[in-house]
Amino acid sequence: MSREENIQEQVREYLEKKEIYSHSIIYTYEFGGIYGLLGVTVYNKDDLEDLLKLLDYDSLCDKTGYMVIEEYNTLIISGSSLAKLLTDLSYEKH
Amino acid sequence: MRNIEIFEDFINLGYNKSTRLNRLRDRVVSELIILRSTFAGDTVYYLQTGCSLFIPGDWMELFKSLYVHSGDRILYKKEPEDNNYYDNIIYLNIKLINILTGSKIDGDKFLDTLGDISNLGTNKFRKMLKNKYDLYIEPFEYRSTTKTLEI
Repeated sequence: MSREENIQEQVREYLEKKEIYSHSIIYTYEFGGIYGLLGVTVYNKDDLEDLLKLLDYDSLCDKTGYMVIEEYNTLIISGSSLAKLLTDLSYEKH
Repeated sequence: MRNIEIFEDFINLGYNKSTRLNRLRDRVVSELIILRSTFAGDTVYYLQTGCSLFIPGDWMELFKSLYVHSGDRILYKKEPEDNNYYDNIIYLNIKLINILTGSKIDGDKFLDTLGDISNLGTNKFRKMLKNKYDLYIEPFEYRSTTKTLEI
């Protein structure tokens, strides 16, 4: 399994533990600078709201690095926001 | 010589599925659209919508081999003049491989060509491969949150 696929799998497992089921999780280094970019698409609006709640999105003062595309129930994360999520995931794993 | 005849010459030489190395490679197609190549095949991911289009590895390998063997002859003739399905699908796939051989993908050309292939569909060609050459290739697959379509 490549590093990209490994990260995708970790994110999927993490979300499923929180009962958020995703249609698509793609991690790539082709966008988003050194940390890469993560795109998560869930099946409906409720799941997207749950995902944003999980990430404490509404209370964030600085939403840099987050792109919410409500029309497609998609969240795209990059930059230091993504680095933080990946760090949280690795703590969760250990 | 028609594209289908060039194809028949090529495959009658004894086309063998090559062994593909396990790899993952992402390439930028356009803004928030990537092409991911893996052992199983190539997938176009539309990160904004979560949709994807899977192109089976065997399909890509077949046309990469044909491209090496006769790509120039097929591309030289430009688009087939008549509406022959086989000539057109061969031409479009060789054009697709040609776009992918560059170091940077021309996103618009790539997506247009993929759209043209999707409009024609791959079923008729796959059936011909199975019936005539006993070669089974999986279909293209479009996946969105609401549907999965074989193309």
